[in-house]
Amino acid sequence: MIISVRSISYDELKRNLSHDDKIVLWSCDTCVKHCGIAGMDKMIVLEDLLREDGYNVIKKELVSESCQINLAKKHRAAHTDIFDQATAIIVLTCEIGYQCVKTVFNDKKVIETAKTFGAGNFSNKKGPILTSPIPSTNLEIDPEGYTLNNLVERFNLHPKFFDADKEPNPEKVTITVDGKPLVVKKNATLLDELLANRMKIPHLCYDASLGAIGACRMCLVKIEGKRGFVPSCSTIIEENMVVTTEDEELEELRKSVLQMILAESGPEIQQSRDIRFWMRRYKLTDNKFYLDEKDEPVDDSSEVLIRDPNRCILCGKCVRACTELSGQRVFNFANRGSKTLAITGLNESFGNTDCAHCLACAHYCPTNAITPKSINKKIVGYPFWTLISYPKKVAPKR
Amino acid sequence: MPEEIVYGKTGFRIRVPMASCTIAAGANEVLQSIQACLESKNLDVEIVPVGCMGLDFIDPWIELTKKGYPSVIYANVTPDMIDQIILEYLDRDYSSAFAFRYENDTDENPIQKLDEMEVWNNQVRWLSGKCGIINPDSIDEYVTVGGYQGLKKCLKQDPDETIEELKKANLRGRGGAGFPTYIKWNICKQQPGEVKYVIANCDEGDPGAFMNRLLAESDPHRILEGLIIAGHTIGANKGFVFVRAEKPLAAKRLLKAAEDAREKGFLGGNIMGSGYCFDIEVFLSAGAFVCGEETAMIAAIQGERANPIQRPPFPAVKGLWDMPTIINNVETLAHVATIMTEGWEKFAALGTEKSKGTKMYCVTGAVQRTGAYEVPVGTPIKKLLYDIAGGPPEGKSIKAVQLGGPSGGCVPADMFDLPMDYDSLQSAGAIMGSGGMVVLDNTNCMVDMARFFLSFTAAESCGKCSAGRIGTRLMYETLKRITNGEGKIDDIELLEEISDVMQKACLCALGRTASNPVLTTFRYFKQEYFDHINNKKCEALVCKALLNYHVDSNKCKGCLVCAKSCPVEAISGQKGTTAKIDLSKCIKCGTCAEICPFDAIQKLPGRVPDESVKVEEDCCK
Ligand SMILES: Cc1cc2nc3c(=O)[nH]c(=O)nc-3n(C[C@H](O)[C@H](O)[C@H](O)COP(=O)(O)O)c2cc1C
Ligand code: FES
Repeated sequence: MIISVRSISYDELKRNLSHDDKIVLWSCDTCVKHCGIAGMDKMIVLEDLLREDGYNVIKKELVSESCQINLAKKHRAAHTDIFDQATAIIVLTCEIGYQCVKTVFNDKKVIETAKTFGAGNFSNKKGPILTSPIPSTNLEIDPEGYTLNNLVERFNLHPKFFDADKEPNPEKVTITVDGKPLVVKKNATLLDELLANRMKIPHLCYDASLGAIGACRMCLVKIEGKRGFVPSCSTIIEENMVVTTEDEELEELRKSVLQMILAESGPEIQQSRDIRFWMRRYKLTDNKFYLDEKDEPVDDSSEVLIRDPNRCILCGKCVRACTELSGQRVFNFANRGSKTLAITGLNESFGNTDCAHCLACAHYCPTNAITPKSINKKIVGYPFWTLISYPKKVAPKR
Repeated sequence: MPEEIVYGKTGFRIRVPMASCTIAAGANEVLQSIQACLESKNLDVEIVPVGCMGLDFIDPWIELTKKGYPSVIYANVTPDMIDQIILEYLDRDYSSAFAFRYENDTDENPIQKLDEMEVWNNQVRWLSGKCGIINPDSIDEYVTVGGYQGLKKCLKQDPDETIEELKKANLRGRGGAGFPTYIKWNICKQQPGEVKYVIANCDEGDPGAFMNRLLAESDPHRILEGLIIAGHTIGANKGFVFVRAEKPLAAKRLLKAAEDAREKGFLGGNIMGSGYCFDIEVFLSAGAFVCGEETAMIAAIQGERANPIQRPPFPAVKGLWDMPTIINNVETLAHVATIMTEGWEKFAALGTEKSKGTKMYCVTGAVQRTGAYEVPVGTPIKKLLYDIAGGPPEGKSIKAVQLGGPSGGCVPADMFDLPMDYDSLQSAGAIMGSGGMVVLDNTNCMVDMARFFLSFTAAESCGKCSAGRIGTRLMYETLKRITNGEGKIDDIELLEEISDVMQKACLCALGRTASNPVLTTFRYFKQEYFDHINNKKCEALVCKALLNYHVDSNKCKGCLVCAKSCPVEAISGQKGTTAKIDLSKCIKCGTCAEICPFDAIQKLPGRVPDESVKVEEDCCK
């Protein structure tokens, strides 16, 4: 992965902006995100900061791989109405991503926020490590690699994201969750806030980067005054809301829905992280529901990705990631009812489609139905990027 | 009825119903035959293509009306009858006729009047009164019978007054849920913003329901008028009529109606000089049951996959292209037009305390007179099935009626005193639904019926939410097991459990109500499930795995017609001796039983045929 560090302070950023600007936040969803300075959550933080200071943010655009200029072009084309209004674009990407955005939006003020040092990898202990610095950095190749902190200190850059410079202070409201008061962000998604407060709510089809569709029915909660059970992923917080996230009935219901999902898919999905977590938590060992096991051929026609339809739970994350984050629309749904399928292209082999290989689909797939080929297929159960293991020591140069 | 409608320009009109149902019954051929006959006789008669009046058991019918003569309806007409009918009619001989149309029709040779018939006089044709009388393709005829008067009135008054009148009429949505129309309209009207939409829901995907199609094919302007009133009331300038492409004639009539209305100034800019602008688009849907659901319909119109989305926000707040949108069933809209024309008082005088007005029902299945009938809300089931539809065919008895299609439930015969209004039906586990009534008799298996409806919802849902997609499939496969004789007693509990999950967890009403056919058959016909599971027996002789064909040696003459007809050569024997069915080969298609000239082949319940046969033979000896 590419290693980048924040290059400007929040004050410097503001100096580049005027209060009349119509601002678009643009973020890449790959390497820089793992460097901690981009992604949907960071855009939300920055939006909060700018709003508080009286700036006008008109759009947050998440791009699966901003360094692919094609994807940048497609994103502009998909929302010309809004982009045409924009006067400033703040890009949370590496330098290569910035160059692409600058080229595509050569009519606008494009503000760079990161400095890029070269390629590296991700260590579970230390986070991103720079191992192959680009020559212009004048860095020696160090067998231990450079952590982000090393780089911040050495180059006198800015640690972490803009909220390290100034704490955002968005408007808050109080709600009641499981009998206790909880202070949460106003107008936020209920599930986001519950998760942010370290509550465990199962959710398979929701991701803040992709938005809610309410398909998996795992995140159901009870809300006073609302009929029945409501998916917390599709609920906007209202002041004084009274929410129940855990009781016997909810647990039974979530268990049943999980069992349904397990019954429909092949047994392999039980190894994926989220499913396994909830199976353990609910102590599910057998399934009261039974359906014939899926037996679809695995599609390995793509150069980069393997797709195993038997693991698909139709959460639609790949469809949304491909449509919204990459702009390619390689994935879609076909058929209806119990015959519904996720397909690639016009139901053709993955290799035949115009996949941009941005890996967004694989990144968001909760059941590893789509995985990059570079990953050892035997290690299943974790989103692939946490798996990428790197040698502790680079062999000394000869 | 105004004279110009009854007799037309020439003073002699022959009405031929041109709706999908009557055309299927042969109305096209009848029409051609009439044209040929009139030409050969050189008669100056106007042929009027009209819609369907709901009496499907007399399709195709024709009606002859000449000045100085009564209006006479002829039933089940075939092309070769036409010459005779016209001659007899002009001779004032009505012996082969079905009925006189109007109350004041009299003649020296009187026959029964429509109004004296049970099937007619038990109905209140408030909404469908013009169906089968006026030409649906003629806007002039609609205007002559009072059409667009309601719109004219509404355009002159404040939209709040319109809402107030609907409130007084207490009109509830006819699309299934029975939500008060005025509340929906009021919410939408109060939303800020200039751009709003109205949509007429003519998807009608449930098996056994066809009143929306009938209305669109027979009186399309009434729907448009209601839609324009809706648009004016909430402040919309654009409307859609969402019709299935499988109803091409309905779509064609609606399109023609819209064109004519535009030409006459009822649609388009500055409607009737009021300054109000409104236009509509007839949207042809690719057709799936789930498209009837409001949010799925909106997605379909937006060009997306017809997946429902989580509500709230309700469409009245955030609907089509995120703008406030109201969606109403076409029958609801036709009611609006009629209420505004005739006055809410008349509407509110019909029906029950809580639910006013009339409702159209489509009665199909085991009754003598199938058709679409309109009765006041709250009419007992019995009255509709027995008085109007004539009860079961001879030799059969009605066992239950399935109300509201796949989202509804069945009501057993001993509860037929139940009034058909939203609340009573709900308490019985059924729903009013759109108005489909499938009547079941003792040759229908309730387990098999539940299996059918679940196969329908499993195939016709959107497939988006896990509880709906997997739940319907689990239920269907369990029911399939039971009807195949492989059911276990635990399956009943399993079905209840799946149903509970679906009711609680599903995204839209399709999934939340899909288990109703199973739950109501549990409630009223649990014994049938036990029979299938424990005794491997299907009393109604429907489930193939649980029956066998058997040759009655007392009746069989050994003609071997059955052996020749058998598609799998499972029947053998010699001429003159009793034929024998090889049950290991038999696929239970029933061809032999149907073809046997001596009724010697019978269906017998149970899996182990040889035993049951032996028992019978023992008894005889
Ligand atoms: C699965 C499903 C199918 C539906 N099908 C229809 C339909 O075919 N026609 C209809 O008018 N309403 C149908 N509805 C109800 C509509 O969603 C909606 O409630 C109705 O059109 C509202 O109109 P009303 O207020 O006039 O009844 C369906 C609802 C569901 C959940
Ligand atoms: S996460 Fe809310 S329904 Fe899937």
